[in-house]
Amino acid sequence: MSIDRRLILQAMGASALALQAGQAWAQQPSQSVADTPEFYAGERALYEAAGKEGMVISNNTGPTWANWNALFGAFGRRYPNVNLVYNDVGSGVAVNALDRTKARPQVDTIYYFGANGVDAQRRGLLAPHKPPNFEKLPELARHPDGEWFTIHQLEIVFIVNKKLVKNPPRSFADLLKPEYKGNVVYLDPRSTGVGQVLTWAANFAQGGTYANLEPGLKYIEQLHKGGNVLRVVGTTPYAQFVKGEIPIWVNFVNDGLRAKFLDGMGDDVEVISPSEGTVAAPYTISLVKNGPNPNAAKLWLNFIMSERGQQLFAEGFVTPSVPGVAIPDAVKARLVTHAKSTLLDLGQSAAQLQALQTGWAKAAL
Amino acid sequence: MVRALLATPGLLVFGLFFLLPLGFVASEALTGGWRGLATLASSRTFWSGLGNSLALGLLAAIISTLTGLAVALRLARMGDNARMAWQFLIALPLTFSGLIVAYGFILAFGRAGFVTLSLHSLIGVDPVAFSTMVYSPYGLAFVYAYYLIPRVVMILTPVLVNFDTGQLAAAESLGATRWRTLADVLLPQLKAPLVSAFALVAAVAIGAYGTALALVGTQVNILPLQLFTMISDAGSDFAVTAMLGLVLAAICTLVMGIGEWLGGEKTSRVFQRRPT
Repeated sequence: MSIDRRLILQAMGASALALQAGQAWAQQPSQSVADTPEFYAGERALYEAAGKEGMVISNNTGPTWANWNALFGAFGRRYPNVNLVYNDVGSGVAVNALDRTKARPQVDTIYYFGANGVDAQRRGLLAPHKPPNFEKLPELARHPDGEWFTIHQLEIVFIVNKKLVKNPPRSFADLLKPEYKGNVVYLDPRSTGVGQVLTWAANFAQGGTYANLEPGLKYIEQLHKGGNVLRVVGTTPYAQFVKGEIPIWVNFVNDGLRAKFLDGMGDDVEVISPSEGTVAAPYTISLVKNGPNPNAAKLWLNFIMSERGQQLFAEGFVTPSVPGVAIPDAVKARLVTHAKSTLLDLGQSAAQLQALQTGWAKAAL
Repeated sequence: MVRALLATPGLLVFGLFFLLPLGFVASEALTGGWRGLATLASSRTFWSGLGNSLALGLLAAIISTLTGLAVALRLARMGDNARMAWQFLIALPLTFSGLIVAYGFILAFGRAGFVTLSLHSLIGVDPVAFSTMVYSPYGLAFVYAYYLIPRVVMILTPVLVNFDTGQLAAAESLGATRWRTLADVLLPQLKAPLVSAFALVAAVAIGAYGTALALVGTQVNILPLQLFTMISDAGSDFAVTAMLGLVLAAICTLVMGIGEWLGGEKTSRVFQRRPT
């Protein structure tokens, strides 16, 4: 399986290079690190060491998610001697699989929803690494020694199909209105990170805190009792949304902007940040302890955290984690502004996970 | 000796790809003794999930067996060529994966589905109300019937083709009504394959998960989706998860076993009596 994917990736890399070559010749001979200024001190030396390893295995970075494909392409052009191989399994599964193979891990880096990173750190699966811009991250967004750090975040919003909903909701309070009966779809907090984050967002909007889940659970109960929930789903129903099956989808912002700008829904979609404020989920990455290609792994992590890597996230409608990254105006114009955005505290939310899941099941089912 | 050798490949596959993985799951389920089973037994969600799974399995199996029987009766009266053509068409749904079937039904009967929108513009059916049907547990049973009916047809058709219709004519000429003929002559001979077809499709419906996940989501509490919830991102209690897997496998095996037990012996008699 991994060999097939590597071949595919090589082919993709090669064709991307060929495409790029035509444009690049006009301006500069190459985009490789050898011919351009270093992104950070020691980049070329690290590239040389990584080139001897020849490859890096990036766990759980699915190409269509969070603009990873663009990062793969840019990494391949900058570091032509390091082959990037990825897989896509889901955060929880990735950590469990790593735990099973920890004596001899087969992956170099692991990317996940932040709560899973905290879990992996507690299980002792990770090695410390501090990439460029590490110190710029807020303390909530990084492990003190760099065993995990946030590379981008995703905010909860309402993604509304305007063909089905003439008057879109502006706030969590709006969602309770009878006019949205049978309209709301969201993901199950028992099986997905996004389900947990949106439950926290609703809880904070209703005046709850990390210690007090009651307002959020009461809100969920009202939403279901009033009949406003159309479905709770176990996997991201992106195709269903694009096909016009879902009127209001409470979900991460990037799926909405992707539907709007890349999949042709245009003005039929409105992406709305709740007026009470939203919660941003940290997505983190780690260096795997005893991974097979440590230098190439560091090169990949450093690239993701560089200004260029962070910009590529923004181009894929994903909020960069490093504060103050320069984002081109054309990209910025497409992003959503939030009334208020709170970064999820991974420690405090993890302590309440069980209570949130069982409380949700009681309120919603 | 030769017989034993011929059985080797089958036994090897059975051992490597069924018994061995099952052993791993079982050892996982029993880490910490019977705690996994105790956790399941004390969970309200498990028992309601079990009830819903059995209800879904029964409903889907009843729809499929009745429809399949009607189709097989018709097929048995056709000429060989026509029957072969129809059987080919009827078997097609078996080649689709559950996910594809679910999406197919969404494209046809969902809120923006072809059938839904056609009905809306023709006779003013409310698309919202109409589409909630396909996303409900009843919709799920309906979609299951789509690929369970072919299984029933495939089991029943050969039996019906080989059924000697002279027996029916004899009963009728002796003065039996049409209904008594069917009940006293046809049904007793058909009981065994009917029961095993019913058990087979019920077991498939109880254990299937891809269609359910794509169509109704995790809000419908059935055991396969509970299992999915427990092994996806948020889950980490492997002992309970593995135990649920074992319990689900045991339920499906039990349903099949009951079918074999009720039908088995008589099946062989029917087949022995078959004139060929």
